Amino acid sequence: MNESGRRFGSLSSGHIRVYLGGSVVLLMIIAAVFAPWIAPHDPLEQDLISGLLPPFWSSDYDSAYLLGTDSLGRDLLSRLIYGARIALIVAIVAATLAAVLGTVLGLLAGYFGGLFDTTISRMVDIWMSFPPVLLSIILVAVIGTGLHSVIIAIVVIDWTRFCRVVRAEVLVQREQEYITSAVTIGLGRWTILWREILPNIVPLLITLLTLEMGIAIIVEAILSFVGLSVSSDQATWGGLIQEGRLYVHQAWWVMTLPVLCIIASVLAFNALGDGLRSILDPVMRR
Amino acid sequence: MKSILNIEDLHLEVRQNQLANTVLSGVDLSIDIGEIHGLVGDSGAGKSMLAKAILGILPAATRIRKGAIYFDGKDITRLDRKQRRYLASRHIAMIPQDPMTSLNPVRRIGKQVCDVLQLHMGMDRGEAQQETQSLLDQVQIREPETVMRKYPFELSGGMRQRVLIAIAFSCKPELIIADEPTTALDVTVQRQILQLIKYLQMNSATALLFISHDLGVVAKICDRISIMQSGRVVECQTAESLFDQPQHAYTQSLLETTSKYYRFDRSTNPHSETVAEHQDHA
Repeated sequence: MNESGRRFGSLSSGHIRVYLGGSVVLLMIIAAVFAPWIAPHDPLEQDLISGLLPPFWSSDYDSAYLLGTDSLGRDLLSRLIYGARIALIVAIVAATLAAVLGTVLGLLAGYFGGLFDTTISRMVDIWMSFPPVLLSIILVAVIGTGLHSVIIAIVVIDWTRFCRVVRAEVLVQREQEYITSAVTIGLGRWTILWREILPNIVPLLITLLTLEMGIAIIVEAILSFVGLSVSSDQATWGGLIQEGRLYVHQAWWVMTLPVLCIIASVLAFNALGDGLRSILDPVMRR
Repeated sequence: MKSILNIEDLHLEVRQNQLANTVLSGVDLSIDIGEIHGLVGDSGAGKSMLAKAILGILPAATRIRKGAIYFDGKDITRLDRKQRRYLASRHIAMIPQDPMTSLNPVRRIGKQVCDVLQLHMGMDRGEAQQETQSLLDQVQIREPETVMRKYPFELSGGMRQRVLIAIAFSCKPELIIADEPTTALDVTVQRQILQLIKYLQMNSATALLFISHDLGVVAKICDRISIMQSGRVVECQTAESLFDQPQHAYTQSLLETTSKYYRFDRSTNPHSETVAEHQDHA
């Protein structure tokens, strides 16, 4: 097998992206799963005397609070770790559900065409003409706050991303010679769709899915920033930004650290997806 | 001899923006059991459309306006979709033009051959895998077990065409349609593939419709040759008499453009070369 392509040392750039992105995502997963054991404090435990303490690099740093505290004296590190829980649940569940819904509709629309395709495609057009953030805020406002509402809102809004891309890709694959071969061999329509076409769009799906996980984290942050996510007694990154915003002149880190967490996790998901695609795609493996 | 395929007065048209373009205008063609029948013509003469009509994979805008395709005595244009699909897939196979794109890029070679066997020969997975191995061996692929685990992109064009030939012959069909099976290959590989097709065909009861634009290639392996021009079969003769006494003006001009090498080759040793080489192999 010929393994040329861009390389860094003995690793391809795809592998590097997977390792970098994957390790950040893994770190996030560990933080989220083992939050009660890792977090040095209860994220809700207040200590009003030690409010707005600076992080470890400052001279007034308190060794009990590695990344400092917020205005109510709650440990910022613990709150960030618990925030990763919400972010990760939303990222995985919402993105996966959106992917399943969008992919199924996209596959059917692309492969069977006709009235079904027209209906779905127009629906996607109309859907995408709404401002997504506004739509999600309205949706959550209507169905009520809570983790499941956030997930539903993201699925309802973002299935169109998958649907559109999958449909376009199915249209391309459907015209390929190997599909004609499959038809002459006598494979049924569903078999062809499931066994011939779907595997060919999996690399694309993985990229889309991980991109969507990044987007889901951002949407969750937006919703918790405006107070429409989980109840305010749970730590979320968006909620932390919202609280930190008020003290940004006295204690900039309270707002900046969750922003960095969001940036790092979104970048990690994107790198992971992009890297996986280039490794998984047998045509690109050449 | 009894014929396996009989096309009578086939008219085919493509409708585009309410305009009907005639693709085939009255094609008559018959293929005997076990014969290799060449179909030669310019691009645009309707060769591939005829192949698609037989296989039942015509594009959506195309329809048969008149005529019939009798396969084994039955008019297959009158069957419903499902019966047609079954008949065409079980009893008629295809060797496609472009081996590079005719295998699914993300599925292993072995699985793609097994699919056909499991679907039509009622084999379970294990039997199909064994049969696949012997099929790949028959198309002279070395180390078939290794190749079965490979993806199409790991094989050369010639190897892929061998795999596709194995798939075509796997269910022992009554008819195989080879639509320019060597056009996309190197000249050296072309020759091997031609010999392979010829060899496999001789060892089975399969009839073969060999489509090409190259009279020289067709002359090497075909028993009879039909010449197509603008949607019609203008001449049909045995290979020898076609080269000696071409009847139609178009055939004569085709012959003039065919290289001398093939004509010489044809007249001195019609089949012996292919047979001899393969006996060496076996």
